[in-house]
Amino acid sequence: MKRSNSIFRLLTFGYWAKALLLALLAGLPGSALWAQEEEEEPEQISSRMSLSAIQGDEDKLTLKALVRAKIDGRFTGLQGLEVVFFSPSDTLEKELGRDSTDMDGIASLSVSKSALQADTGGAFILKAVFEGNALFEESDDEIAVTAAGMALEAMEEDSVRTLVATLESGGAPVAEADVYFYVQGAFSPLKIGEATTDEEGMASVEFPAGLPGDPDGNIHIIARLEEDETFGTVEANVNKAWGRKLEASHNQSRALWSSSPPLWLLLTFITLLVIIWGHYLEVIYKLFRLRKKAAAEG
Amino acid sequence: MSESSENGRRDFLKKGALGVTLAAWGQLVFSCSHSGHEHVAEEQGDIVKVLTPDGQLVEVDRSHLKHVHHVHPVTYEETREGVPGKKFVMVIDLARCTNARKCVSACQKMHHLPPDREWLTVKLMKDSEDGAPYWFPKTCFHCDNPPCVKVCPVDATFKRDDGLVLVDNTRCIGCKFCMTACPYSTRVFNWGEPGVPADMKTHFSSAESSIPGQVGTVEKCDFCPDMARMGKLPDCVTACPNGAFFFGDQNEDIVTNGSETFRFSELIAERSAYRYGEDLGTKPRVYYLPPAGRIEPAEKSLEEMPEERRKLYEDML
Amino acid sequence: MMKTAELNKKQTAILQALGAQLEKPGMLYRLWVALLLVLILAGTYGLYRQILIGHVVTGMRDNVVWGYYIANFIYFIGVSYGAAMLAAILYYFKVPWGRPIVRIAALVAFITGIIGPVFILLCIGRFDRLHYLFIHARVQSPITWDVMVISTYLVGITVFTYLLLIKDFAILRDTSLLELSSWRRKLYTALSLRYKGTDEQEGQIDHSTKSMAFIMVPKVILAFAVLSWIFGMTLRPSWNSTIFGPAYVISSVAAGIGLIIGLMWVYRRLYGLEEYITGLHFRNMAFILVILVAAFGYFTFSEYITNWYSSGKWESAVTAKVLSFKEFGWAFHLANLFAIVLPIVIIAIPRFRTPNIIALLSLLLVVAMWVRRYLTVVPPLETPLLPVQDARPEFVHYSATWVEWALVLAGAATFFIFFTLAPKLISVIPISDYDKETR
Repeated sequence: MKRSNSIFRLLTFGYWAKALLLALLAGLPGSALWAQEEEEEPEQISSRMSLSAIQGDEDKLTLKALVRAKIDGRFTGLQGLEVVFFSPSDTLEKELGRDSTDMDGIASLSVSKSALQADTGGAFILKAVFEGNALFEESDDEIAVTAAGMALEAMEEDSVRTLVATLESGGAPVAEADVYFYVQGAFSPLKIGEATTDEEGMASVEFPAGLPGDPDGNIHIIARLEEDETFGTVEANVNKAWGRKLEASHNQSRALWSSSPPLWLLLTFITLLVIIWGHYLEVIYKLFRLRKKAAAEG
Repeated sequence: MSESSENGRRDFLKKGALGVTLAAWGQLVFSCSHSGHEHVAEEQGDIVKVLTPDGQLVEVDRSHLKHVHHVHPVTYEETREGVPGKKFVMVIDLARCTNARKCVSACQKMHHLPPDREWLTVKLMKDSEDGAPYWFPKTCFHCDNPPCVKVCPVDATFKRDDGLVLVDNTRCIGCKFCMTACPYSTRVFNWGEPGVPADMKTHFSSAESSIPGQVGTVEKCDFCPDMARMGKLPDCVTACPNGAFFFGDQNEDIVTNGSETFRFSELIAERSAYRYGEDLGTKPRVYYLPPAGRIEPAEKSLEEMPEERRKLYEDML
Repeated sequence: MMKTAELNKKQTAILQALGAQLEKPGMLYRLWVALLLVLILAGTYGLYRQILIGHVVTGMRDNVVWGYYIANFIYFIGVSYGAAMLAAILYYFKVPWGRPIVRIAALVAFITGIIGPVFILLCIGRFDRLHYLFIHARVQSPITWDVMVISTYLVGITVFTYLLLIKDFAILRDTSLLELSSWRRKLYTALSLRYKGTDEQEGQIDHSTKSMAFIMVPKVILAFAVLSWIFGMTLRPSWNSTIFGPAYVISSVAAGIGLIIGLMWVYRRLYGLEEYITGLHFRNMAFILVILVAAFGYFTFSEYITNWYSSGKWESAVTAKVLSFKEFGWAFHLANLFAIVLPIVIIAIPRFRTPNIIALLSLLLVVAMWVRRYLTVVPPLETPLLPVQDARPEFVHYSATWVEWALVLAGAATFFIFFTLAPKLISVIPISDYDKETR
């Protein structure tokens, strides 16, 4: 049942796939088609998982598990696989939650750091497991993340705008870390600068001029330590009205290409129609009257 | 989904795409002569197996693995007004186009188009007699003064606040006036029953997805607004191995090809971007970066293609 | 006694000539009608295929999205406008020699006005959505203008043609000179609106007809303009041209006059109307024709020489395509020969101004003008701005399929069948117009 179902699934993809199958059906006796199916008994494809952690504002830690497989020589995200997230310790593997991978092959889960237990070195051990299925081999990944926090401050002095990110871990500043600064875009963040933290854990960049914001001028700014061996990704966000205010643009004015016509056009159009049809109606009315009158007379 | 995980996902996406692009560049640097055969294989479609969310084993074309269009329902008014606050814009770097045609095949597959209905085409162009030929990917230009929209008698094709020009194929009467009005030959017509997969027939349809196609109506490149609504890039952008397509929101002045992100205004200023057919006054929303310093001469792709196909470009050589 | 029943000598003679029209049709006539019906049926079958399968059965593809249908549409509707303009002007100014021509012209305008729009419908992908043209109308679109103008025009030409016929219907209703079957009498009674020919009635009909004729002229010019703007408003070279409209008007009126001359000749021969449709009529029509084609020749020359001389890339490509003997050159030059050169040269010679030669020239002109319509539509579409680079020949060059041929021929057959059957109902020569003859 499943098998025939899969034939129909195959049928539904693409024009020529259908044509090919039809040609196949026409050319081969039914048994050969089944043999074809047998041959296609799937071998498991090995999958690969990469787990990463993003430490965000306050207490939040987001886990991202990317499940990929090498398909025709290229790693491709796998959609619709269930990933289970664990926090393993010496005694037990505590399940944190589960999620299905999205169309990019990413499953994610947000947890609270205070609910996690650190190991003796002060790091959280985190693990994600895809248990495998008929097609893809199981895969897992484990990372150790030390709790860290980043604060992002946006300062303005004498019309110089500065972003200062402060990185700390366990109350102590983290030096020599590369921090990238972005503004958030609809499809991807735009890098506006990078700096290395000093002994006080501070990194600062100047905020570029001329960036547009939303209608209130707001810009979403992100500072990020990216995929650090110890801390994973640590980021901080701030919203600041430093952008050019976006003028609300409404296309839907009267124009040749909009839904409503320019007034002069509409008026001309209606005037012409009224004149000509008015004239017609007069003539037709007269004809009716002619007939009526003649009927009355004769 | 929370905001930070949304950011994280984009971050991830960015890195994933970066990897892909790096790999592609690598391939290019050590460019192997059989890459031409790969194009052919891609277009014929290589079947690979994947699992769908409902746990079924299916065979699909490779490019289906990455995205399956999940269209989330939008109201009629939303499709007419567009994604709020956006002004979509595209930048195509002609120096990076090698006629790999991944954009075309991704577009065809995502929109369930048969081979005879390309929304996205790659033309071979030459600006002057002694000039060098270059490849020219052509999407719909989503003009700000769209000649096609002007002439539509039934408001089936329309311009939205977010800059996109879309076609409502449940409204279109098929007069083809827009096709004669478009100077860029962007629009295609469903001359016969479109080959719509059975399971797509009940697919949620709006002017944002144009799926399923309807016989006797016009359709065209739509910049994948259903994807844009979800914060995802159009399929041609992510499919390009060279990152030639940049897409973004002009309102926030950011364009990206998935791995590299630029300020739109800086990119078009530094690279002297132009719009095709500027003198026609159509005000396209697609900017081209001139094909100076091409990563590969156009002839390379020509050499690798079968004789018959090469004939198509004779006029340009 | 009613005026409609008392006829003068001339009118009696016309009625007797009408007797010839009403005679039982012979074998040849029946065969001719059968042939036309077969053509119409073939067209209907083609249409059925097109609706069933889609426009893929035509030769149109993504570059040439308009082909025979639109060429036929602008041809027929142009002829209709031209004939209507001629009828209206001849009527309004009471041109003395115009009497037998006004009726034929109005009938040509009426029937081609109906056939033309059918062809634009054939070019529409979705019949089931035609009503959208009204309920979702966009005033910015030249198609909306055209829909309004054509429907307005059709009502106008129908009322005008009917007004021209009412008096004759009344005469036919009241005549005792002809043996008319009872259904005819009933029909004439219904159509004559109890017209009895009183001075008041006559004055009213004449006034209405005259005012319809008066408004017909600006309306037809508007209609011509709107139709030419469907092409002119696009960015395509040779369409996007200010001379497009005038050239279209002039050539359409010429084609309309050509058709009218042809019909005059056929009716004259068929029903022995030499007394009413004389050599003078042919000569006068021929003179108008020569003036029009000369103007058309000038417009054509002006259009192509400016495109050729200046070096705009896109314009030059279209011009080169039209002039090249490998592409449309033969069609273009032959069409110009028959539509422009030949009429001027031959009619310039007095002894060639005979009805037979004029009719033959008109026939050639009518066909040649159709070719010019085809050349108006197709070459600019085959020459897009961007290179085509398509592996499929049918996407590069347009060639009509049997479906299109069948429908085009069905259109012509509809025209002929109308003019074959019309004389069975009404007199070709307007009887009422001769009432002042010998009173």
